[in-house]
Amino acid sequence: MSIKPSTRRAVQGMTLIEVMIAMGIFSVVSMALMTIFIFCLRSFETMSNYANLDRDNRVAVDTITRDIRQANYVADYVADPPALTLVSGSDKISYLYDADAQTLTRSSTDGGDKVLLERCSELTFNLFQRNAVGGSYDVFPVAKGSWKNTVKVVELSWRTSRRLKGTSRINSEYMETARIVIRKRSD
Amino acid sequence: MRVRSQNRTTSGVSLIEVVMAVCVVGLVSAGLMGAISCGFTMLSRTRENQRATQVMLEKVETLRLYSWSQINSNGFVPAKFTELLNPLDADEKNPALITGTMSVEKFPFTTSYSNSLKQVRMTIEWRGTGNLLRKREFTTFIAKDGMQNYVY
Repeated sequence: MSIKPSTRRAVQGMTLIEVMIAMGIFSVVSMALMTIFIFCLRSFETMSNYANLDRDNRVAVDTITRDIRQANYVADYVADPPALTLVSGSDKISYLYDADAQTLTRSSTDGGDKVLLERCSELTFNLFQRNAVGGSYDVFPVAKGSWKNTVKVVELSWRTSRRLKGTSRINSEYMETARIVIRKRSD
Repeated sequence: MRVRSQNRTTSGVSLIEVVMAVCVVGLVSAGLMGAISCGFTMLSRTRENQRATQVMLEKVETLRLYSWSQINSNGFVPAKFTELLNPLDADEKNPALITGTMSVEKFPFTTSYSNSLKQVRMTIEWRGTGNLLRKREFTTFIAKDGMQNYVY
């Protein structure tokens, strides 16, 4: 039996310098790839957050618009915490904002409760009467005393946001505004 | 027994192979970055369109409050308006704006009831993503006595 050493070059290991240089290059390349990977992940999550935020806001504003347009009148209103109750035919629809939970909930006598908005940090309802201000798009606010009889327009605005998973950093934010006229009120 | 080193396994990669690999990684990364950039652009355009539509709807809702005499009164319906492109920019020094025009025009068709109808044309424009000028138009009719005689 004979053991023949292979050529010197082939069995030679690497020097410490070579190993260190290789590790250095490997680290730099790995760091770059990891950075790209994390950047891509965050970007996709941000896009997903924005898309979800837009969808949720659109659904919420469409639902509220439909309810207010078809309402007979505004039965109750509280400025802080914001709450609005509408009477629509034989149904009563309420919108309640919970500042602690940061949610807007729709409660209806015909269909239970539904959370319309989550992570809603700010929400306001403003009530206006029918009379428009000439030369501007403004409308006169409702009277302070007997406001229930004069509400024709409801303005609302809210701010919602989403965070990156596992962090407290807000990475997408949206502010919605709307002006809705109660169609069934003739005066 | 014969121990033989294998040239193929111990040999490194050729320069061509490295260049090819770097090119492939580069192309994939560039494609990914391009896709992300395109995604964000599309997203912001969608958001701008959504906001612009909302602004137009708010103005049209206000139109529904005007009486026939107010619609016909010169200057009662403002010819121009501006709104923030992003309401979150209210405290900014130079926020992006949506500018709009509203014109009350003669009914464009000849009918027996032409004098009881008006056409309202609204245009809005803004400079959004990529500083490109974007325009949208909304046209609606206003009738003196409502649009249908069976609704009362």
